[in-house]
Amino acid sequence: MRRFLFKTGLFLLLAVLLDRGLGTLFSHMSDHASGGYLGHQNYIVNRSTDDILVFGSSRAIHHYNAALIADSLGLSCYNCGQDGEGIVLFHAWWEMIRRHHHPRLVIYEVTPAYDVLQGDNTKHLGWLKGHYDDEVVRREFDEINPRERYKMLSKLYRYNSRFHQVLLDYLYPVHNMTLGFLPVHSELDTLRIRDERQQNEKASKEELLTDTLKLRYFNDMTSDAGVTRFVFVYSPTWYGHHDFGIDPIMELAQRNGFLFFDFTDSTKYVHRNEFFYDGSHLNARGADEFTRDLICELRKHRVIE
Amino acid sequence: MVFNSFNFIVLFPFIFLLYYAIPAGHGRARNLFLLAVSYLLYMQWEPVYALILLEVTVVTWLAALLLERTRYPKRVLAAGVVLALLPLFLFKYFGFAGEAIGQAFAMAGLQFHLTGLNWAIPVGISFYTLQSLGYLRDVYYGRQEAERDFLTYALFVSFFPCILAGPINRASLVIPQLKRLRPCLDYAKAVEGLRMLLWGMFLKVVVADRVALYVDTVFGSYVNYTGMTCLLASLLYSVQIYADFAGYSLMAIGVGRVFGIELAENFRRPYFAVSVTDFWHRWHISLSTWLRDCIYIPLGGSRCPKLRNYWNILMTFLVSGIWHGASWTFIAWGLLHGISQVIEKMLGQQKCSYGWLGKTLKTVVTFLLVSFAWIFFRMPTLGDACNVVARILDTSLPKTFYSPGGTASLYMLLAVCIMVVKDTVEEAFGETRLPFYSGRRLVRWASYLAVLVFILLCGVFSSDQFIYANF
Repeated sequence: MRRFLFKTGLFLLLAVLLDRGLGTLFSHMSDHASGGYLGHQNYIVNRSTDDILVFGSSRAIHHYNAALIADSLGLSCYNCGQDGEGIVLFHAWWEMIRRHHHPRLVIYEVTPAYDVLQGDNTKHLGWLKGHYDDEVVRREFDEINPRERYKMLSKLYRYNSRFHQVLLDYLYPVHNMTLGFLPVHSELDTLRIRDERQQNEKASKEELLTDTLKLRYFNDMTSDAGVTRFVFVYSPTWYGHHDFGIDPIMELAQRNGFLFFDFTDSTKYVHRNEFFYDGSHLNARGADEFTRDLICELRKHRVIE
Repeated sequence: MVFNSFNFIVLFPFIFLLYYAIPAGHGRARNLFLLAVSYLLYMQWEPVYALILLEVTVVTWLAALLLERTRYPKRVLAAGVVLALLPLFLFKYFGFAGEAIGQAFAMAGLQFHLTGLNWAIPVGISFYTLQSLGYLRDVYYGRQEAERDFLTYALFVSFFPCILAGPINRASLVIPQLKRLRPCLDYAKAVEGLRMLLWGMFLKVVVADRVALYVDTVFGSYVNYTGMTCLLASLLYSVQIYADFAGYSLMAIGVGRVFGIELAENFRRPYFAVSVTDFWHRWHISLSTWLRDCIYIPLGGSRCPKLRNYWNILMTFLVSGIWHGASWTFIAWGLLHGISQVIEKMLGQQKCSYGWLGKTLKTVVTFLLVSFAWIFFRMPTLGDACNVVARILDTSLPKTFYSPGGTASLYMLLAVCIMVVKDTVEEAFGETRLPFYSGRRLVRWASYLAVLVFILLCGVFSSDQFIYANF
């Protein structure tokens, strides 16, 4: 028994040492990554001093040409969009950004599934795991899934499913984004349009429940915004307008005097194959066109004066 | 108990230490402790369902005792079987039976409606019911003495590592171990148990749950994916269900070994089978053994005319299908396996007498056949299963694959490759050639640590249910 306990203990000790050692190494590489998604993330939370920031999911990162916005408005702009992410990530990032910088404008691309509706919020903590030592991030973990704190005892787990990204972004940094904007030079995939349609039909039939935590994060962000103005945007979709779950954000915008631009029913984009690469995402051509339209709206409403 | 859950990781060391804190001479106290732990863990899911477990235990225990004394053993056996099967039928099959009868009446132009019970199925009911029935059968045929000590028997039925999804143990394997005074700790067995636990965890969280992300995405809305994608998803489902169930079984057997109790073997690299018949000698071995002993042989087995033998095979696999679930898809899955085996028997292709090329070819064909049958197992309705098959065969669809993005595909490929290499080495050279069993301690420990690091870096920890726990 003693032998078994001794060897098991020794194994656990080695495992802990390895976890600490490799975890620290990954942490160093992640913090010093200059390219790819990690470089993008490091810039946003540590160094960004841009006047305009764009938040949102893949519909932000692929739709908002930050260089075009910067040139047209004469202000610096950075696209902070992140694939498959929403308010859970951006609330934490916002808190971290505010420590060193207060942008003049935040353009928030709303995606109901990630920003309003109930769902598995734990999966949105992925990009934050590497920043778990930050108090803001830790608080968010506790609010969303208290059990995660035990998993976070492992330093390696913080890089779960991302360790190859860490290695690549540190060792071979790729700079494929232009001020955070990642255009998709691709033709429309009609097969994927059917997918979106079906999902929307399904969504319309199901009861959509609002996530109070997500709405609280929006309130936290906007109520203490200081010099920052917020603009909420629903960028174009191929299949036209749908508003499942968007109402709470529209109400929030109205209550706080923020603008809400809804482009989903814009006839300029609906069913125009040349602007999209799937039902929900604009291609590079569509993104440039939409960014120009958005700039016009921002000018018209004198958002930046 | 769900082995990849947070509860297990926290509770297991405590259960282990408390168990071994009871002196080795007090075997009964140890059994009592394990029984209490097993019931308490079972009650985590739904406390009231522990009564169902108790009912099946009491009924089969009493029936076995009566079998040794009565002059009407058949009647006692029948009563025991009916009473033990009753909860399983009510919870699992009542709704399906009512629906099937209603449909049959409707075809005759009559109306018949039996309201379903809509109760959640008690966890592990199919497994502990079969294990109890196997015991009853062994007592009936005089292969096993009826167990007089209720505590020992109750622990045999409810032992926590295998209550969720097996293995379905034979009483002759487990009960003598429970009655014997176990030593303080069998070092070699405990170490082997931990090794199995580690590799089982790898199979579950790194392979099965990673592959599930792809399979669930595709099969969740298969109409939006190409035939090639559906084909890839169905092949990957074969990988998923193997890694999921073999992973669970390894962990269950491993936990049993840490407590000094040997449980039945459940998997022996099934995808290296050279025929569907061979597959069932390697896949869910405890179930196929149970089906052979309790269904196939009582029906007449192979010692009967050929046609009758074919019929017996079909019936055995029909029961296997029904056991897996109350749905036409499982019945179709069972029948597909039955028909394949009948054809193999007719053609004399159950074994492989060819060279390595013939063996490889037969292994590939068997894998494809089994993967085809898994489509029926996986899809919610027969219509969906047929649609998936139709999409796979539809040559007009684009020949493209859905790729979930670089990272996800990379991790999935890496995990599957590690599993395949390990199984191939084990199949070709035996497990002693694996780093886990190396004579050099450094290699052994390095491989344990590498697997652990891999679990932490590539494991999917958001899913905590095993596929077979649904049965």
